[in-house]
Amino acid sequence: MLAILRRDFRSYFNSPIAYVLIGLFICIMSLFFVDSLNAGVANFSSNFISSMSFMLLFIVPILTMRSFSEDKKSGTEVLLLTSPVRLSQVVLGKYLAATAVFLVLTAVSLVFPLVLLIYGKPDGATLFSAYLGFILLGMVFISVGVFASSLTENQIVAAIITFVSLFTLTSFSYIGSYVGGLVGKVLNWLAFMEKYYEFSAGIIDITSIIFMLSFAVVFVFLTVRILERKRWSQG
Amino acid sequence: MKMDFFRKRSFKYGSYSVVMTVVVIAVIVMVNVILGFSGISKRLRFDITRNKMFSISQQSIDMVKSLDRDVEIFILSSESSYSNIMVKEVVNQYVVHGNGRVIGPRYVDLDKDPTFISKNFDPDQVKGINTGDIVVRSGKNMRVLNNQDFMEVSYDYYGGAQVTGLKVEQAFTSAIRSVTAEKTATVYFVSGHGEYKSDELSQLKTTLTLNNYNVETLTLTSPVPGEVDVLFFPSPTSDLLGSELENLLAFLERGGDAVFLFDVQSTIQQLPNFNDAFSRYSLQLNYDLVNEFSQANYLKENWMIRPMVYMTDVTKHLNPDQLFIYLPMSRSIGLLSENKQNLEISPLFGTTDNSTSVDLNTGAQRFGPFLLGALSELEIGLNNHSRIALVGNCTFITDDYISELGDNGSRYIVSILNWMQERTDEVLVPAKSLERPPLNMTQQSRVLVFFLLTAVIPLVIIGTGLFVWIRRKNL
Amino acid sequence: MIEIQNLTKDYGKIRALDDVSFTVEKGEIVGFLGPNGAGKSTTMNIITGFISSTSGTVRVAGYDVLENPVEVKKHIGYLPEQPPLYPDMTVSEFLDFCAELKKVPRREWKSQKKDIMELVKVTHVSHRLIRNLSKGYRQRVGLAQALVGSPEVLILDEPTVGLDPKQIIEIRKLIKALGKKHTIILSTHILPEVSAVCDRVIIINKGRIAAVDTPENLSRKLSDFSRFTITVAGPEKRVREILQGVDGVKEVSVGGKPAEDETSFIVEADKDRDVRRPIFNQLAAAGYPILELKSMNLTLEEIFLQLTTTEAKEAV
Repeated sequence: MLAILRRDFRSYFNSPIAYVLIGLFICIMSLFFVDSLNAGVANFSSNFISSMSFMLLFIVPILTMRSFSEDKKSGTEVLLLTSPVRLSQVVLGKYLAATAVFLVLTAVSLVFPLVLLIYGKPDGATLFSAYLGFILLGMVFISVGVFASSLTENQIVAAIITFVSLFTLTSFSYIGSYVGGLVGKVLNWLAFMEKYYEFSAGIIDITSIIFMLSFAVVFVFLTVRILERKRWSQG
Repeated sequence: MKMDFFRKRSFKYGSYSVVMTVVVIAVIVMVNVILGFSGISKRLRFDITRNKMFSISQQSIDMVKSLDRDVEIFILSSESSYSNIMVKEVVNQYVVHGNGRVIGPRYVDLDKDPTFISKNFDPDQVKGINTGDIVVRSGKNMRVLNNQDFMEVSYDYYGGAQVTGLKVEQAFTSAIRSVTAEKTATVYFVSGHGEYKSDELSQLKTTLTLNNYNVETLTLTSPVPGEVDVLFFPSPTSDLLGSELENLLAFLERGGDAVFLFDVQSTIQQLPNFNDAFSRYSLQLNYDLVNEFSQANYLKENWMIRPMVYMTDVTKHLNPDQLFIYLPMSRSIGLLSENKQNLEISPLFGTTDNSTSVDLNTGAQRFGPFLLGALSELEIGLNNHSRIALVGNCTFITDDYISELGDNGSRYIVSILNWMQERTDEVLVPAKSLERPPLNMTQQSRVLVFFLLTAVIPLVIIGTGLFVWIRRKNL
Repeated sequence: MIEIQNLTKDYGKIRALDDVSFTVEKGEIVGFLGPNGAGKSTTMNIITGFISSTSGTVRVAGYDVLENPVEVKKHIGYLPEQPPLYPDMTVSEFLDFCAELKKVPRREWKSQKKDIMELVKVTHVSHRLIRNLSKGYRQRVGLAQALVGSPEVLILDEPTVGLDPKQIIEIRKLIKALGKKHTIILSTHILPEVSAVCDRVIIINKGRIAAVDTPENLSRKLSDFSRFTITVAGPEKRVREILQGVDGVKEVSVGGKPAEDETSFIVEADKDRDVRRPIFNQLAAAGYPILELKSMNLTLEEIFLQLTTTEAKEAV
């Protein structure tokens, strides 16, 4: 598992893709960060908070599109699946590699709180909680992306599936309020954005943490099942 | 054939795999459903903000813990579109600490269920209710809270409003207290001396009811019954009879409270018996009309006084914006010099130095400042007080006035009654100031940081990427 | 070392493998011979645990591939038809990754890596990106990958495909050398490759095993025309006389009459004599054309007809 994690992680950083993603993320988020600078307030503006999550909708598909698609295409899938490593470990390795890149991106984005810290006295606990929410949201999104990547060998298709799924996922609360009833309740329950906003406001909800991690686990697990099924498939 | 299919390995392993997938996912979903929809989740939330934005004070916790009846909280909005995190969290806190007494929040989407309000709420108690408002209900009592109730607003000199803090907790604690108040005190409106009639004071009565006061009427011809707490005199125009005075004094001497409001009278009528009663509290009602000349303190006419409102126990629980009161055509209140022990007088309303009064009997003119209202508290025995309020105006609580200039006056009256009843509906915790820690940057460093963040750092990162890529490309 | 019993694999309604059974002993080099699409890759994918079988068992080093996939995989080095390479890695990085994947102890790996790279002759390209390597080198890196962790069993799917003749000879030598330490299954559709490398050949066609034998026996079988059918245009009686008159023919019987003036005969001849030429000459002299002549060992021949029998064709 560690071998796959390390390889994929290096692969991201041996190509320009990770650098470009991180660079663009910082650049675009800076434009929203200016709100705080101009207002002279040492906290993240609500625009900044929502843009962070919005950016993930674009970053994650690009990050995860190669996870399995690339291996399927280049034939290295055979190498992974015929080496003495459990399938679950292969999937976990790939998932954690994408997550690790995302964490690097998150770490680089700590320049923003750093600026607040240098020039003011921000509420550290709330910033921490906002970042916790961001990381959890990222982990959820990446699990969806890795799953989508296991469905197809075409990277672009994988990215599009991921983007559409994530977009749907994030609009659950809107849909939920239209639908109403039990479906609406379920959709509300799945509304990650609400949970993310709670974190960013400084509320740490253990059930939300468990929920988001469970969601990621379910999708990683489903990815394992998809790859397994392929080996049992009749056609 | 069938058996053959079942014996097939793909079926065996395939179905095993499907069953296992379903089981694992079902277990995970179950755990989350149990966590999410049971009460546990509410206790697993932690407010880690620096000034505990989403937590409630011990005072409120003690209050909900001691509740002996159920309180329901309705949010008149669909759950997903209600975005006031602070309200959600604070309500959650009440629910968590309420030992099951605080129920909710129940989201009511009025678009989907437009008859909900008329079916479930008493129309008198929820006047002017709107989507997004919150109803706190216990039994038949209910209180409506809206966003204005949650904001602490301060006014600058020109009347511009600015939100300086949030007092969601204060609003909820006071609402819960008021709807669950066990004993509602009764205010007796005294009649028989040309006072305002009931239908001229209907707004005030509604406000009193909403604040858990029963409203009854009473004459003083017979001794005041023992259950009476407060007498209310809405501008008597004729004097008390001797027997009435005796009944009043007897009531006051056993620790009764009374509110006296007197309008300026066109017929010059002396009220010696009333003044006799006031003198025991070192107060005196003057027979005059006060005019204010300081520009900030009157509205258009000199007699439409915007008095200085003194900060007292009465004003403690009122919003600053509720202190905007206009007193049209007022009489002044005199302070008798004799200093009595066991007596504490506090001014309520006053005029500036730049004011005059004309005695309606003699035409004599006096110069301000004048007192337009005062409280007097007489200690009668151990822990027993008789409190009176005397205000030289009653117009400001009439329906006519309220429809034109707002109901701050009746709120003020409620506040006086609360003080007399030693009711602390309001919560003493200060409003939560909005977390806005300042960023001390010079313009120069702001530009520098902006440049660093938008250009230098991204370019360095992307440049590193290109460097690594190009270097490896030709390996 | 490898025991395969009644292996069957269905892709939907298509049966890719049908009741395949064979065993490979320790130290053997076994060639898997068959035309494209015969089921060679499917068999190999099943042995390596990449795909599952519909029924049947595969045991490698005593472990069942279904029950103990990780143990089985530990014993196998696999080079699939398309070498599984990450183009964005250097050879050295890639092999390190494989070693990590196969859990080769670090201390051993350093020297093993050196040995493997020298063995497959990629030492001088070890710091180049796989993307930038030629096909031959990529194939070698693929082979190196299979050798990582020195597994007891090597499974090589078409290891020489796409290489130039010189490279083919090198790779074959290499495989031959590896055979001393490893049990090897290699698949090919090139006939001479088998005889050059393998101890034993398994011929597979349309998902079934057609023959299992040594390369020598197989080539003998291939040239065995001791029993064949011949269809001749001419009067039955006359032709039979001519056939019986050929030296070495032991028995002639009529097999059927495809047309009015055509007759099929089943001819049995001495084992070590090829009677086809004299038969041709005599029938030609008599003016009766041979319409068809084919060995009774039909399946084998059919397979061979589909195989590449010369190297030149494929190697260019």
